[in-house]
Amino acid sequence: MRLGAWLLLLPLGCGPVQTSRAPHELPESLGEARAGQQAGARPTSPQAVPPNFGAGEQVESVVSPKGRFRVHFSRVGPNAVSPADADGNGVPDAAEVVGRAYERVADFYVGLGFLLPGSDAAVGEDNGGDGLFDVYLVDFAGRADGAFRLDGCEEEDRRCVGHMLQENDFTGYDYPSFEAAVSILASHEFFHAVQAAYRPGLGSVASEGSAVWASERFDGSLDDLEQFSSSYLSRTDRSLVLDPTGPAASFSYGAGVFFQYLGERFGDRAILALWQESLMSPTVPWYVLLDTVLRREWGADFDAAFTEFSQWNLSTGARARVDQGYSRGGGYDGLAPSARTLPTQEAEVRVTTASTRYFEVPGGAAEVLATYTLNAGEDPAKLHLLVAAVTDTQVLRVSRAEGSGTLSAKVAASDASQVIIAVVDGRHEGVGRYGTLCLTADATGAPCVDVTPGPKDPEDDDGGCSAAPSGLGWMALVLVLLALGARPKQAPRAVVVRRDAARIRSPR
Amino acid sequence: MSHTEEALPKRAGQQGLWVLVAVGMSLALLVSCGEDEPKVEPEPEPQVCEASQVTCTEQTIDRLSLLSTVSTGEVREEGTTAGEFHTFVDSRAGGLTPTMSYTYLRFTPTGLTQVQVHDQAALASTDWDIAVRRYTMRVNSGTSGPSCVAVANTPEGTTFASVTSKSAAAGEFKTEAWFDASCTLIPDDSGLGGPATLLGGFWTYQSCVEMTGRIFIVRLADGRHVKLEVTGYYEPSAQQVCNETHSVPQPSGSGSIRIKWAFLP
Repeated sequence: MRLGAWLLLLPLGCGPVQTSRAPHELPESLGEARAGQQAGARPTSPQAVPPNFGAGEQVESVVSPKGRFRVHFSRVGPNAVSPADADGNGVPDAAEVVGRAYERVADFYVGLGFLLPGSDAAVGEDNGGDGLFDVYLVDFAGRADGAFRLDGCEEEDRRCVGHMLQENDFTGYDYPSFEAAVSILASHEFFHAVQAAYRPGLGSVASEGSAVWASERFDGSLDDLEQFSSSYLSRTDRSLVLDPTGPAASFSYGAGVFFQYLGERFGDRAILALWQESLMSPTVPWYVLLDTVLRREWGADFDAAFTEFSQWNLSTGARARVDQGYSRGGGYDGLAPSARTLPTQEAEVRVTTASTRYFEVPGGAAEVLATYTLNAGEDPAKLHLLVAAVTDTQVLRVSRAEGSGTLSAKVAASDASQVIIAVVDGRHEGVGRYGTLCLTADATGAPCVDVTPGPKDPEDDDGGCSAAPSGLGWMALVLVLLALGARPKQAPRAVVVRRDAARIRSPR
Repeated sequence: MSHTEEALPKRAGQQGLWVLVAVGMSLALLVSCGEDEPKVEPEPEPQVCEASQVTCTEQTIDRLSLLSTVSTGEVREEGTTAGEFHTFVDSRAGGLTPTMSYTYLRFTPTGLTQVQVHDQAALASTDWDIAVRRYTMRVNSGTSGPSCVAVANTPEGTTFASVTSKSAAAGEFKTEAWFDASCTLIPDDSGLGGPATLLGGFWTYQSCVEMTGRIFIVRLADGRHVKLEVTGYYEPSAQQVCNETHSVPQPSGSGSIRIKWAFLP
């Protein structure tokens, strides 16, 4: 992919969204991106893509404490930072806060094993004056609050460097404080620079999702992941491996939940290995890279990870418990199962690659059975069915089924207020598949399984009744079946695993 | 049909198995020759095309995030000029990550009327002409739907009032084709990654969705033609600021589509 093309993939998002926080970055049009790149324009240049400093605006800069960043700011005009200068050193505190935040973030990512972006001394005259990483504090006017822009690459589309634009004062934004906003932006935006030090063209889900993870990993008290979680959890039916389109694709930010799962489940190394692998395989999409490293280093794969991720997502919001998944899942909200009644038999239920359809029925019944039968001709690979008995505050137990043929799983639900059913497609390539979903609390399994009447018990002829065949009755039934050469209709294959929702061990 | 039903009992008692053969053949003839029977239903509206198979439907469902929830967005007419319509469509669809289908619309003599159909069913429906969600607008043809609604551009600078016939079209009428033969997406040129729809030229994106003022001529499935201009995506005052400054104030009222249109003689 050409540099100009993947440049567009980095800064996605603007404007109000249904989440409580808008995406950080502003999309750039193709023309803007190309013009900006060709001009090599930093925000101090008249050719710069907005937001930028005015022609007559006096722009100053200060170097961060460890000498790795240069923060550019102005004191007058729309881009001015707050004039507060508590230590009286002549430099606005705001610029110093930014410099210190970027230093902390850089130290942290180095500690996780990530590369830092190289010097930008070679990108041209408009490089901020030296090889330091440049952060420009400009007014985004509420439309976004940060952007990482690329300047160039050592190799084609790899090992790239760039610079950062960040909101100057966060006036009118919904952050708890200037310092918190700076920490979020520094950790999020600078992780884009870290990504660029590997391969920046992995698409919006990988770039934004892992940047939201990075921010959370840097400081768990920051609320970016929590704010964006509903953008994914409310649309789990969307494919995680397809980048959404549009100027404010908050779904990509919400995908931070998946990277959070990877980080907690496999360790920080999983995300690091993904980016390292991107250097080795410069044209391979992120989900294939992830599948590769999961297989190589953990004996798992994308399918197993995505399925477990779908189970972890049951234990979010009010149902979160540390021993069932995320360490801070209580802050992740928005899982939106589609309500159904019992019994339900629904044809043409679609599920697509790397997606999960959640359904919900009332609890209280002794057992709830779910089956999912793919339409004839559909590939049964990597399809999973989860059935979870839940209350408003916890996941009680989860059953799971997979394999070819009809998937069937049931849970005891007498103590459950709801039962949540998840149809999980763990493939990372392919198109949608269709099948029939059936949900029932009927003890016979009807209508989800064929209830074929057996041979009449002789006692029935005497007007008696029996809830179940006696031992002799079973023997007689077996003898009759053998004599007739008949076989009972094969029941749907069921794999029922009761785990009390404990965290699953390494997928094998 | 009635002829066969009357004949059956008479022959059934006389010919035994041969009657069954005859019935089977009769039914086969009925099926094959059914179109020759007198029609009792009302004549359908004239069509210039037969419903066609939509290609790459699975890719379209995924790429365009087509849903199975019917849009509840409001549609209302705001125009006051005789013979000319100015239709408001609430195209928010639940937000920037939509949770509802496109709003499906049909051009009628009384205005654009909503067709109650969700995205995935719309892939098999010829009942709609045009669909809109957020700033994506598409017509029912090609990769978008089974009908044959086609769109032609007009020369740059053309005004809505100046278009008085379909001859104002510049170039041929085209049907939707945002996938190539291998179902690989053909994106628009905005850099936002959306599909290259025929009506996508109504906007450009700098830092906000600006109106281009481009006039389109839409050929409907029944052969009628409509001239069409999308006049806004934001509320009018915000749209004006966006058009003039390339930046939109917040809140902008995004998802407030307004379409000016009129049937052409």
